[in-house]
Amino acid sequence: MIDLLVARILMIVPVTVLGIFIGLLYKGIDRRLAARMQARIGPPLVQPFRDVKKLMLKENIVPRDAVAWVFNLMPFVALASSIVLLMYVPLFGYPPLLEGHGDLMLVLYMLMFPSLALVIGGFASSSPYATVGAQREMITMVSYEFPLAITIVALAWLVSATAPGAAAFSFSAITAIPVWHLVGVLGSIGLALLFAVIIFVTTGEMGEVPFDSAEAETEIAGGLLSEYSGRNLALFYLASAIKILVLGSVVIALFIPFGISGYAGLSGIAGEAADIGFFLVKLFIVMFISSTFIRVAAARFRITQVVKIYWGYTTMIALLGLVLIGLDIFMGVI
Amino acid sequence: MTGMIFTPAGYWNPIVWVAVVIIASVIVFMLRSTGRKTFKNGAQQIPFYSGNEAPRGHIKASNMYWGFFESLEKYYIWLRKMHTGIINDYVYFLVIVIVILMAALALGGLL
Repeated sequence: MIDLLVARILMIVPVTVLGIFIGLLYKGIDRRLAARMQARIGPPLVQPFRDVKKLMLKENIVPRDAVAWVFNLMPFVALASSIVLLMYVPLFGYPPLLEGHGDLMLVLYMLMFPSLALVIGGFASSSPYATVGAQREMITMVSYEFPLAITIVALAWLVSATAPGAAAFSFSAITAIPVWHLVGVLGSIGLALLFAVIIFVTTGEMGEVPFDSAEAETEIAGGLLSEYSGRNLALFYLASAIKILVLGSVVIALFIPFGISGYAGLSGIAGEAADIGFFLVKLFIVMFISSTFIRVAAARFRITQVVKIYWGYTTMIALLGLVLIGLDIFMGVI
Repeated sequence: MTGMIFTPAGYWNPIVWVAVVIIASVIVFMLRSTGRKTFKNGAQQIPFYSGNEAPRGHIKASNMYWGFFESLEKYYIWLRKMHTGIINDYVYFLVIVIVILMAALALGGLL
Protein backbone atom coordinates (compact mmCIF):
# COMPACT_ATOMS: atom_id res chain seq x y z
CA MET A 1 0.00 0.00 0.00
CA ILE A 2 2.74 2.48 1.02
CA ASP A 3 4.89 1.41 -1.97
CA LEU A 4 1.97 2.07 -4.29
CA LEU A 5 1.45 5.52 -2.76
CA VAL A 6 5.16 6.34 -3.11
CA ALA A 7 5.04 5.21 -6.76
CA ARG A 8 2.05 7.48 -7.34
CA ILE A 9 3.77 10.43 -5.67
CA LEU A 10 6.82 9.89 -7.89
CA MET A 11 4.49 10.23 -10.89
CA ILE A 12 3.51 13.78 -9.87
CA VAL A 13 6.38 15.40 -11.80
CA PRO A 14 5.73 13.64 -15.15
CA VAL A 15 1.97 14.21 -14.84
CA THR A 16 2.62 17.91 -14.14
CA VAL A 17 4.88 18.23 -17.19
CA LEU A 18 2.28 16.44 -19.34
CA GLY A 19 -0.52 18.62 -17.93
CA ILE A 20 1.38 21.84 -18.71
CA PHE A 21 2.24 20.57 -22.21
CA ILE A 22 -1.35 19.61 -23.10
CA GLY A 23 -2.79 22.78 -21.52
CA LEU A 24 -0.43 25.06 -23.45
CA LEU A 25 -0.93 23.07 -26.65
CA TYR A 26 -4.69 23.43 -26.27
CA LYS A 27 -4.29 27.17 -25.74
CA GLY A 28 -2.38 27.27 -29.05
CA ILE A 29 -5.10 25.27 -30.84
CA ASP A 30 -7.78 27.47 -29.27
CA ARG A 31 -6.14 30.69 -30.43
CA ARG A 32 -5.59 29.30 -33.91
CA LEU A 33 -9.17 28.08 -34.26
CA ALA A 34 -10.63 31.31 -32.87
CA ALA A 35 -8.55 33.25 -35.38
CA ARG A 36 -9.73 31.08 -38.29
CA MET A 37 -13.35 31.52 -37.19
CA GLN A 38 -12.79 35.29 -37.34
CA ALA A 39 -11.14 35.06 -40.81
CA ARG A 40 -7.65 35.68 -39.39
CA ILE A 41 -4.56 33.48 -39.77
CA GLY A 42 -3.76 33.35 -36.06
CA PRO A 43 -0.53 32.57 -34.20
CA PRO A 44 1.42 29.29 -34.55
CA LEU A 45 0.41 26.42 -32.26
CA VAL A 46 3.59 26.83 -30.19
CA GLN A 47 2.85 30.51 -29.42
CA PRO A 48 1.75 29.84 -25.77
CA PHE A 49 5.08 28.06 -25.12
CA ARG A 50 6.92 31.08 -26.55
CA ASP A 51 4.79 33.41 -24.43
CA VAL A 52 5.78 31.58 -21.25
CA LYS A 53 9.46 31.61 -22.25
CA LYS A 54 9.28 35.34 -23.00
CA LEU A 55 7.51 36.15 -19.74
CA MET A 56 10.21 34.32 -17.79
CA LEU A 57 12.79 36.68 -19.33
CA LYS A 58 10.80 39.84 -18.59
CA GLU A 59 11.02 42.02 -15.47
CA ASN A 60 8.88 40.91 -12.54
CA ILE A 61 7.52 44.31 -11.53
CA VAL A 62 5.92 44.84 -8.12
CA PRO A 63 3.70 47.99 -8.03
CA ARG A 64 4.50 50.89 -5.74
CA ASP A 65 1.79 50.41 -3.10
CA ALA A 66 1.32 46.66 -3.49
CA VAL A 67 1.44 44.23 -0.58
CA ALA A 68 4.55 42.67 -2.11
CA TRP A 69 4.58 39.29 -0.37
CA VAL A 70 0.90 38.60 -1.13
CA PHE A 71 1.33 39.93 -4.67
CA ASN A 72 4.23 37.49 -5.28
CA LEU A 73 2.71 34.58 -3.39
CA MET A 74 -0.63 34.37 -5.22
CA PRO A 75 0.69 33.25 -8.66
CA PHE A 76 2.63 30.58 -6.76
CA VAL A 77 -0.55 29.43 -4.98
CA ALA A 78 -2.54 29.43 -8.23
CA LEU A 79 -0.09 27.16 -10.05
CA ALA A 80 0.58 24.86 -7.08
CA SER A 81 -3.16 24.33 -6.48
CA SER A 82 -3.71 23.65 -10.19
CA ILE A 83 -0.99 20.98 -10.09
CA VAL A 84 -2.58 19.41 -7.00
CA LEU A 85 -5.95 19.37 -8.79
CA LEU A 86 -4.39 17.50 -11.69
CA MET A 87 -3.57 14.60 -9.36
CA TYR A 88 -7.18 14.10 -8.26
CA VAL A 89 -8.94 13.98 -11.65
CA PRO A 90 -9.11 11.01 -14.06
CA LEU A 91 -6.84 11.65 -17.06
CA PHE A 92 -6.62 9.82 -20.39
CA GLY A 93 -9.27 7.28 -19.41
CA TYR A 94 -7.30 6.15 -16.35
CA PRO A 95 -8.35 6.60 -12.70
CA PRO A 96 -6.94 9.67 -10.91
CA LEU A 97 -3.29 9.38 -9.86
CA LEU A 98 -4.43 9.73 -6.23
CA GLU A 99 -7.54 7.57 -6.60
CA GLY A 100 -8.87 6.65 -3.18
CA HIS A 101 -7.28 9.70 -1.50
CA GLY A 102 -9.74 12.38 -2.58
CA ASP A 103 -13.09 12.61 -4.33
CA LEU A 104 -15.11 14.97 -6.48
CA MET A 105 -15.98 17.24 -3.53
CA LEU A 106 -12.28 17.84 -2.90
CA VAL A 107 -11.85 18.73 -6.59
CA LEU A 108 -14.81 21.15 -6.39
CA TYR A 109 -13.30 22.96 -3.39
CA MET A 110 -9.82 22.93 -4.92
CA LEU A 111 -11.16 24.49 -8.13
CA MET A 112 -11.78 27.67 -6.14
CA PHE A 113 -8.11 28.02 -5.13
CA PRO A 114 -6.70 29.37 -8.45
CA SER A 115 -9.61 31.83 -8.76
CA LEU A 116 -9.23 32.96 -5.14
CA ALA A 117 -5.49 33.42 -5.71
CA LEU A 118 -6.32 35.70 -8.63
CA VAL A 119 -8.76 37.69 -6.48
CA ILE A 120 -6.33 38.11 -3.57
CA GLY A 121 -3.47 38.95 -5.96
CA GLY A 122 -5.68 41.57 -7.61
CA PHE A 123 -6.62 43.21 -4.30
CA ALA A 124 -2.96 43.16 -3.21
CA SER A 125 -1.71 44.90 -6.33
CA SER A 126 -3.06 48.38 -5.40
CA SER A 127 -4.29 49.04 -8.93
CA PRO A 128 -7.84 50.42 -9.30
CA TYR A 129 -8.35 48.25 -12.39
CA ALA A 130 -7.13 45.14 -10.56
CA THR A 131 -9.43 45.90 -7.63
CA VAL A 132 -12.45 46.16 -9.92
CA GLY A 133 -11.32 42.95 -11.66
CA ALA A 134 -10.92 41.16 -8.32
CA GLN A 135 -14.43 42.16 -7.28
CA ARG A 136 -15.81 40.90 -10.58
CA GLU A 137 -13.89 37.60 -10.37
CA MET A 138 -15.23 36.98 -6.87
CA ILE A 139 -18.78 37.64 -8.00
CA THR A 140 -18.40 35.45 -11.10
CA MET A 141 -17.00 32.64 -8.96
CA VAL A 142 -19.86 32.75 -6.44
CA SER A 143 -22.35 32.91 -9.32
CA TYR A 144 -21.27 29.79 -11.20
CA GLU A 145 -20.72 27.71 -8.05
CA PHE A 146 -24.49 27.39 -7.47
CA PRO A 147 -25.46 25.69 -10.79
CA LEU A 148 -22.25 23.65 -10.64
CA ALA A 149 -23.15 22.37 -7.15
CA ILE A 150 -26.66 21.43 -8.31
CA THR A 151 -25.19 19.47 -11.23
CA ILE A 152 -22.77 17.56 -9.02
CA VAL A 153 -25.42 16.82 -6.38
CA ALA A 154 -27.83 15.55 -9.06
CA LEU A 155 -25.22 13.15 -10.43
CA ALA A 156 -24.23 11.94 -6.96
CA TRP A 157 -27.90 11.39 -6.13
CA LEU A 158 -28.31 9.33 -9.29
CA VAL A 159 -25.24 7.23 -8.51
CA SER A 160 -26.26 6.68 -4.87
CA ALA A 161 -29.81 5.70 -5.95
CA THR A 162 -28.58 3.11 -8.42
CA ALA A 163 -25.61 1.84 -6.40
CA PRO A 164 -26.57 2.11 -2.71
CA GLY A 165 -23.60 2.04 -0.37
CA ALA A 166 -21.15 3.31 -3.00
CA ALA A 167 -19.16 6.49 -2.30
CA ALA A 168 -21.30 8.60 -4.65
CA PHE A 169 -18.74 11.42 -4.94
CA SER A 170 -15.83 9.16 -5.88
CA PHE A 171 -14.73 9.24 -9.49
CA SER A 172 -14.53 5.44 -9.56
CA ALA A 173 -18.26 5.15 -8.70
CA ILE A 174 -19.26 7.88 -11.16
CA THR A 175 -17.21 6.54 -14.07
CA ALA A 176 -17.92 2.83 -13.37
CA ILE A 177 -21.18 3.00 -15.29
CA PRO A 178 -21.79 6.07 -17.51
CA VAL A 179 -24.70 8.04 -16.02
CA TRP A 180 -26.63 7.83 -19.30
CA HIS A 181 -27.02 4.07 -18.72
CA LEU A 182 -28.69 4.65 -15.33
CA VAL A 183 -31.71 6.68 -16.46
CA GLY A 184 -34.82 6.50 -18.62
CA VAL A 185 -36.19 9.11 -21.02
CA LEU A 186 -36.94 11.76 -18.36
CA GLY A 187 -33.56 11.25 -16.73
CA SER A 188 -31.81 11.51 -20.11
CA ILE A 189 -33.43 14.90 -20.72
CA GLY A 190 -32.36 15.94 -17.22
CA LEU A 191 -28.79 14.79 -17.85
CA ALA A 192 -28.70 16.63 -21.20
CA LEU A 193 -29.73 19.84 -19.39
CA LEU A 194 -27.07 19.32 -16.71
CA PHE A 195 -24.46 18.64 -19.39
CA ALA A 196 -25.35 21.96 -21.04
CA VAL A 197 -25.12 23.66 -17.63
CA ILE A 198 -21.66 22.29 -16.86
CA ILE A 199 -20.38 23.30 -20.31
CA PHE A 200 -21.62 26.84 -19.63
CA VAL A 201 -20.10 26.80 -16.13
CA THR A 202 -16.77 25.64 -17.59
CA THR A 203 -16.65 28.79 -19.73
CA GLY A 204 -17.02 30.91 -16.59
CA GLU A 205 -14.50 28.80 -14.65
CA MET A 206 -11.92 29.48 -17.37
CA GLY A 207 -12.73 33.19 -17.38
CA GLU A 208 -13.34 33.18 -21.12
CA VAL A 209 -15.56 35.54 -23.10
CA PRO A 210 -18.48 36.16 -22.44
CA PHE A 211 -17.63 35.69 -18.74
CA ASP A 212 -14.26 37.50 -18.76
CA SER A 213 -15.46 40.75 -17.20
CA ALA A 214 -12.83 40.25 -14.47
CA GLU A 215 -10.06 40.77 -17.04
CA ALA A 216 -11.87 42.66 -19.81
CA GLU A 217 -8.82 44.10 -21.60
CA THR A 218 -10.82 46.71 -23.50
CA GLU A 219 -12.58 48.04 -20.36
CA ILE A 220 -10.30 47.60 -17.36
CA ALA A 221 -6.98 46.87 -19.06
CA GLY A 222 -6.66 43.24 -17.98
CA GLY A 223 -8.36 43.77 -14.60
CA LEU A 224 -6.84 41.65 -11.88
CA LEU A 225 -3.82 40.82 -14.06
CA SER A 226 -3.16 44.41 -15.13
CA GLU A 227 -0.16 44.86 -12.79
CA TYR A 228 1.27 41.36 -13.16
CA SER A 229 4.29 40.83 -15.40
CA GLY A 230 7.29 38.54 -15.89
CA ARG A 231 7.45 35.26 -14.03
CA ASN A 232 4.41 36.05 -11.85
CA LEU A 233 2.24 36.42 -14.96
CA ALA A 234 3.84 33.27 -16.42
CA LEU A 235 2.77 31.29 -13.34
CA PHE A 236 -0.82 32.51 -13.67
CA TYR A 237 -0.71 31.62 -17.37
CA LEU A 238 0.54 28.09 -16.63
CA ALA A 239 -2.14 27.68 -13.93
CA SER A 240 -4.85 28.56 -16.44
CA ALA A 241 -3.35 26.06 -18.92
CA ILE A 242 -3.50 23.25 -16.36
CA LYS A 243 -7.02 24.28 -15.35
CA ILE A 244 -8.14 23.69 -18.96
CA LEU A 245 -7.09 20.04 -18.70
CA VAL A 246 -8.60 19.68 -15.21
CA LEU A 247 -11.99 21.13 -16.16
CA GLY A 248 -12.17 19.15 -19.40
CA SER A 249 -11.28 15.94 -17.53
CA VAL A 250 -13.97 16.55 -14.88
CA VAL A 251 -16.66 17.09 -17.57
CA ILE A 252 -15.50 13.94 -19.39
CA ALA A 253 -15.48 11.87 -16.19
CA LEU A 254 -18.98 13.01 -15.24
CA PHE A 255 -20.76 12.81 -18.56
CA ILE A 256 -18.71 11.02 -21.24
CA PRO A 257 -16.41 8.48 -19.55
CA PHE A 258 -16.77 6.06 -22.47
CA GLY A 259 -13.73 4.31 -23.94
CA ILE A 260 -13.44 3.29 -27.58
CA SER A 261 -11.28 0.17 -27.33
CA GLY A 262 -14.24 -2.07 -26.43
CA TYR A 263 -16.28 -0.91 -29.43
CA ALA A 264 -13.29 -1.22 -31.79
CA GLY A 265 -12.39 -4.68 -30.47
CA LEU A 266 -8.91 -3.52 -29.48
CA SER A 267 -6.97 -4.80 -26.48
CA GLY A 268 -3.50 -4.47 -24.94
CA ILE A 269 -1.33 -1.52 -25.95
CA ALA A 270 -3.41 -0.80 -29.08
CA GLY A 271 -6.57 -0.58 -26.94
CA GLU A 272 -4.93 1.73 -24.40
CA ALA A 273 -3.52 3.94 -27.15
CA ALA A 274 -6.99 4.13 -28.73
CA ASP A 275 -8.57 5.13 -25.39
CA ILE A 276 -5.91 7.79 -24.76
CA GLY A 277 -6.44 9.17 -28.27
CA PHE A 278 -10.20 9.12 -27.76
CA PHE A 279 -9.82 10.99 -24.44
CA LEU A 280 -7.87 13.73 -26.23
CA VAL A 281 -10.61 13.94 -28.89
CA LYS A 282 -13.28 14.27 -26.17
CA LEU A 283 -11.18 16.89 -24.38
CA PHE A 284 -10.82 18.83 -27.61
CA ILE A 285 -14.59 18.71 -28.28
CA VAL A 286 -15.51 19.77 -24.71
CA MET A 287 -13.03 22.63 -24.72
CA PHE A 288 -13.92 23.69 -28.26
CA ILE A 289 -17.60 24.06 -27.30
CA SER A 290 -17.09 25.58 -23.85
CA SER A 291 -14.19 27.84 -24.74
CA THR A 292 -13.42 28.49 -28.41
CA PHE A 293 -16.92 28.42 -29.90
CA ILE A 294 -18.68 30.36 -27.14
CA ARG A 295 -16.04 33.08 -26.91
CA VAL A 296 -16.01 33.65 -30.65
CA ALA A 297 -19.81 33.56 -30.93
CA ALA A 298 -20.68 35.81 -27.98
CA ALA A 299 -19.78 39.27 -26.74
CA ARG A 300 -18.76 40.00 -23.16
CA PHE A 301 -21.51 40.16 -20.52
CA ARG A 302 -21.55 42.94 -17.95
CA ILE A 303 -20.91 41.66 -14.43
CA THR A 304 -24.54 42.26 -13.44
CA GLN A 305 -25.62 40.14 -16.41
CA VAL A 306 -23.21 37.37 -15.38
CA VAL A 307 -24.93 37.08 -12.00
CA LYS A 308 -28.39 37.05 -13.58
CA ILE A 309 -27.38 34.44 -16.15
CA TYR A 310 -25.76 32.05 -13.66
CA TRP A 311 -28.11 32.55 -10.69
CA GLY A 312 -31.17 32.95 -12.87
CA TYR A 313 -31.32 31.01 -16.12
CA THR A 314 -28.48 28.50 -15.57
CA THR A 315 -29.61 27.65 -12.03
CA MET A 316 -33.21 27.21 -13.22
CA ILE A 317 -32.05 24.83 -15.98
CA ALA A 318 -29.90 22.91 -13.46
CA LEU A 319 -32.85 22.64 -11.04
CA LEU A 320 -35.08 21.41 -13.88
CA GLY A 321 -32.45 18.77 -14.69
CA LEU A 322 -32.32 17.78 -11.02
CA VAL A 323 -36.14 17.47 -10.84
CA LEU A 324 -36.26 15.36 -14.02
CA ILE A 325 -33.58 13.01 -12.67
CA GLY A 326 -35.45 12.86 -9.35
CA LEU A 327 -38.68 11.93 -11.17
CA ASP A 328 -36.78 9.31 -13.16
CA ILE A 329 -35.39 7.76 -9.97
CA PHE A 330 -38.84 7.96 -8.27
CA MET A 331 -40.56 6.27 -11.24
CA GLY A 332 -37.86 3.60 -11.30
CA VAL A 333 -38.51 2.84 -7.60
CA ILE A 334 -42.31 2.52 -8.00
CA MET B 1 -4.86 4.06 5.30
CA THR B 2 -3.59 6.54 7.93
CA GLY B 3 -5.39 9.87 8.10
CA MET B 4 -8.27 8.86 5.85
CA ILE B 5 -11.51 10.76 6.45
CA PHE B 6 -14.74 9.13 5.28
CA THR B 7 -18.09 10.83 4.81
CA PRO B 8 -21.33 8.99 3.91
CA ALA B 9 -20.73 9.67 0.21
CA GLY B 10 -17.02 10.37 -0.16
CA TYR B 11 -13.55 10.48 1.34
CA TRP B 12 -10.24 12.31 1.41
CA ASN B 13 -6.85 12.00 2.98
CA PRO B 14 -5.46 15.32 4.33
CA ILE B 15 -1.99 13.85 4.95
CA VAL B 16 -1.59 12.80 1.31
CA TRP B 17 -3.06 16.16 0.28
CA VAL B 18 -0.46 18.06 2.31
CA ALA B 19 2.32 15.88 0.86
CA VAL B 20 1.12 16.63 -2.68
CA VAL B 21 0.85 20.35 -1.92
CA ILE B 22 4.48 20.33 -0.71
CA ILE B 23 5.69 18.51 -3.84
CA ALA B 24 3.67 20.83 -6.11
CA SER B 25 5.12 23.84 -4.25
CA VAL B 26 8.67 22.55 -4.83
CA ILE B 27 7.90 22.13 -8.56
CA VAL B 28 6.49 25.66 -8.77
CA PHE B 29 9.42 27.08 -6.77
CA MET B 30 11.90 25.48 -9.18
CA LEU B 31 9.92 26.71 -12.17
CA ARG B 32 9.65 30.21 -10.72
CA SER B 33 13.37 30.40 -9.96
CA THR B 34 14.13 30.05 -13.69
CA GLY B 35 12.44 33.42 -14.29
CA ARG B 36 13.96 36.89 -13.98
CA LYS B 37 13.85 38.16 -10.40
CA THR B 38 14.80 41.81 -10.74
CA PHE B 39 13.15 44.96 -12.00
CA LYS B 40 14.05 48.64 -12.22
CA ASN B 41 12.50 50.82 -9.56
CA GLY B 42 10.75 53.93 -10.77
CA ALA B 43 7.97 54.96 -13.11
CA GLN B 44 7.05 51.43 -14.13
CA GLN B 45 6.05 50.70 -10.54
CA ILE B 46 3.20 53.21 -10.72
CA PRO B 47 -0.06 51.31 -11.32
CA PHE B 48 -1.48 51.75 -14.82
CA TYR B 49 -4.49 54.05 -14.81
CA SER B 50 -4.83 55.02 -18.47
CA GLY B 51 -2.19 57.73 -18.16
CA ASN B 52 -3.71 59.44 -15.10
CA GLU B 53 -2.23 59.34 -11.63
CA ALA B 54 -3.72 56.29 -9.93
CA PRO B 55 -5.26 56.90 -6.48
CA ARG B 56 -2.92 55.78 -3.70
CA GLY B 57 -3.77 53.00 -1.26
CA HIS B 58 -6.08 50.04 -1.35
CA ILE B 59 -9.78 49.73 -1.87
CA LYS B 60 -11.18 47.58 0.89
CA ALA B 61 -12.38 44.07 0.14
CA SER B 62 -15.70 45.00 1.76
CA ASN B 63 -16.75 46.25 -1.68
CA MET B 64 -16.46 42.69 -2.96
CA TYR B 65 -20.20 42.04 -3.29
CA TRP B 66 -21.06 45.21 -5.14
CA GLY B 67 -22.02 43.19 -8.24
CA PHE B 68 -24.51 41.16 -6.25
CA PHE B 69 -26.22 44.19 -4.74
CA GLU B 70 -26.31 45.81 -8.16
CA SER B 71 -27.73 42.87 -10.11
CA LEU B 72 -30.01 41.50 -7.40
CA GLU B 73 -31.15 44.89 -6.15
CA LYS B 74 -34.88 44.04 -6.25
CA TYR B 75 -34.24 40.88 -4.26
CA TYR B 76 -32.30 42.77 -1.59
CA ILE B 77 -34.99 45.45 -1.37
CA TRP B 78 -37.55 42.67 -0.89
CA LEU B 79 -35.36 41.09 1.80
CA ARG B 80 -34.95 44.41 3.62
CA LYS B 81 -38.73 44.91 3.66
CA MET B 82 -39.10 41.46 5.24
CA HIS B 83 -36.81 42.49 8.12
CA THR B 84 -39.36 44.61 9.93
CA GLY B 85 -37.87 44.20 13.39
CA ILE B 86 -41.20 42.89 14.71
CA ILE B 87 -40.75 39.55 16.48
CA ASN B 88 -44.19 38.31 15.40
CA ASP B 89 -43.10 38.48 11.73
CA TYR B 90 -39.97 36.41 12.41
CA VAL B 91 -41.96 33.72 14.26
CA TYR B 92 -44.40 33.73 11.35
CA PHE B 93 -41.50 33.06 8.89
CA LEU B 94 -40.13 30.30 11.16
CA VAL B 95 -43.52 28.55 11.19
CA ILE B 96 -43.76 28.74 7.37
CA VAL B 97 -40.25 27.29 6.90
CA ILE B 98 -40.94 24.46 9.39
CA VAL B 99 -44.20 23.60 7.57
CA ILE B 100 -42.36 23.50 4.21
CA LEU B 101 -39.56 21.31 5.66
CA MET B 102 -42.05 18.92 7.30
CA ALA B 103 -43.99 18.66 4.04
CA ALA B 104 -40.76 17.90 2.12
CA LEU B 105 -39.76 15.25 4.68
CA ALA B 106 -43.25 13.73 4.56
CA LEU B 107 -43.18 13.59 0.76
CA GLY B 108 -39.77 11.91 0.90
CA GLY B 109 -41.16 9.28 3.27
CA LEU B 110 -38.86 10.35 6.10
CA LEU B 111 -41.67 11.09 8.58
